[in-house]
Amino acid sequence: MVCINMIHSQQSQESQESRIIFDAVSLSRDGVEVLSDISLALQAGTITALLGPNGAGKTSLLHCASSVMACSRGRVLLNGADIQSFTPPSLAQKVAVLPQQSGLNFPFVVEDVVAMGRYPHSDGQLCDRAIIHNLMDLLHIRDLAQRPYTALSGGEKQRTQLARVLSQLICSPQLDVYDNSVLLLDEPIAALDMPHQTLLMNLLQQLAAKGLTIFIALHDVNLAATYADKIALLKAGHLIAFDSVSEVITEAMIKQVYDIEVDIIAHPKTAKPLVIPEV
Amino acid sequence: MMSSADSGFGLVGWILCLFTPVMLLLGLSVGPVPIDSQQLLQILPFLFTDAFTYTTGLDPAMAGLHTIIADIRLPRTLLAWLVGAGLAISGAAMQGLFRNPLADPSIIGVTSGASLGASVAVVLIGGGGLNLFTDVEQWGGLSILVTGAFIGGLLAALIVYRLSTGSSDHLSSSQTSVATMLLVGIAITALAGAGNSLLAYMTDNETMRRISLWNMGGLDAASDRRVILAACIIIPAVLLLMRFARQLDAMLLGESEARHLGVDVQRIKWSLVVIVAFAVASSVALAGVIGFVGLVVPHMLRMLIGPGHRRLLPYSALAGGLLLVAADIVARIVLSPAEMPVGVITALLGAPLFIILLRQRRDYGMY
Repeated sequence: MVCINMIHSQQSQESQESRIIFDAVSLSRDGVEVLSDISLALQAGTITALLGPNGAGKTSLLHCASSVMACSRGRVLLNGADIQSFTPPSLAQKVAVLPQQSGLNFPFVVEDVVAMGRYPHSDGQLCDRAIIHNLMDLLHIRDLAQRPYTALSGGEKQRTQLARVLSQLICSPQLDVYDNSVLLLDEPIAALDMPHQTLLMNLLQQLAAKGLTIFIALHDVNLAATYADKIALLKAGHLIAFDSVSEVITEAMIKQVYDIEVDIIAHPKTAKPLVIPEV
Repeated sequence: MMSSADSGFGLVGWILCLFTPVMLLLGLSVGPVPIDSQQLLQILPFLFTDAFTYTTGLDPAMAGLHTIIADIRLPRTLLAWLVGAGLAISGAAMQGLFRNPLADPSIIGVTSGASLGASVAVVLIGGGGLNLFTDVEQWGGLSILVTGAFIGGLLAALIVYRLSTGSSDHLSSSQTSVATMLLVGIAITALAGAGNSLLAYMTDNETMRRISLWNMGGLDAASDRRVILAACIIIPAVLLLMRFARQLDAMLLGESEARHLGVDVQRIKWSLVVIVAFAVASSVALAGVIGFVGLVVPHMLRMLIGPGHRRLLPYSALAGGLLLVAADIVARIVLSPAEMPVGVITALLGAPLFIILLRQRRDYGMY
């Protein structure tokens, strides 16, 4: 199996490197400012969780990072270059995006949907097939390979889309990832049951360890606290905090952003903060 | 189990390839003057030679049959084949672009726009007093006809796409509105109909006859020139559209998903709309308004081979050609010796399917 672009050597230096930099990004839509002056840097090989109440601007920030929307002010840098300067094919080789919802209404079979993630690359059919099959195994959709997408349940659809998006960044069946690549996920776990939520988050951690940079919008604060390396807190288009989990997940911070009273205890095993809403 | 992503030519494709020559030969032999297979085989080798050369030393009765085949049925059958292929693949491409199996050029108004453009061209050529060309059948006249239809069809396609997908740089555009698309199609069809009637009212009888001919579909006007012109536009259009298979597959995921997979969505949209407008316009200008081919053919094929465009596009072209040649044969024999416009046959086939699809639209997430 011949796969190019494998990442082995520079992993140690890479952990210091910024993969995506938001440089004073503001975004206006229909005259309303939905993002104001946001600056943050996503370190290579880390998981950064994006938290905030509904309408805080999480999706808009992801849109800026995937170049779907051009920021009104400021800029987004991918590997040091302005993201707007990438052509769609060159961007697709570095950045994969899972949108909040996908409206595929044509009965492609699951395997074909997953295979679409390989479009930006040309590593040969054997390599592609091995990657696709391995991802379908990992996400428990191998049995559904020949089922039409339109006949799947919500969770199965979500796992199919996840496999498609992941296959865009993975270059070998051993889950090696392409150099300098970034995964943007908008609420990927909403439709998943608990075992699959854990499965996905563990898989993401594994990929981050291989050098993938992950930016993930979440509603579940505890999941973010457990798996993320850093957390960005958004409220009404402003970046309230961007720091390590223990700095961001505090009673005061949660009160400020979500406007609810919570108790925070230490997780009995991981000692990570665990948020419990007050009754 | 074979994945439908396999790029090889499948069983359905081979069957279509096999039936194509059979149907073309059938198109040559069936008609008010029946020509049996033996006579056909005798004439075929001399199809492109002059009737007089052919009859030297042979039964003069065969000369008449030679003329019927070479001058009437051959251009007609080939025109039907080309136009059917062009309309069907255009339908498949439009449905991919709109992410919607109802997006047939005749339903969303592209065909009507093209027919209005063609009518304007006819009036400019003949009835409008300009007399740019004495005869619409000359190369110049036909080219103006196609150009007029192209401008009309392109405008209609752009209006529909613009209105039914919202502003193009906005994310909420990832879903096309089916209702808007169909309503805009109705509006454009009504507008084009009014324009056509107005032109017919204002011009002389001959021009009026020509205009009404388009609205029914007129393969009987087929001539060598029309076939050559159709081939020069439709064959390149089919070959070009087939190159967009991957991008169209990605487009079905959604516009932003396609962009994340590296598809230059804006460029694809423009290319597809222009190519489809060319294919539809040439078929409208040269063979009249023939509806529903682009709806029926891709729909039936999707049920057989799935929605993947790598097969859907070439198969649609093959099956569309087959279907229109068959429809033309039927149109020739049901009222023999009189003829039915072929557009009536395709509408009889397509309109009920359209209604069935409307009932099933929930399956496609369309409201």
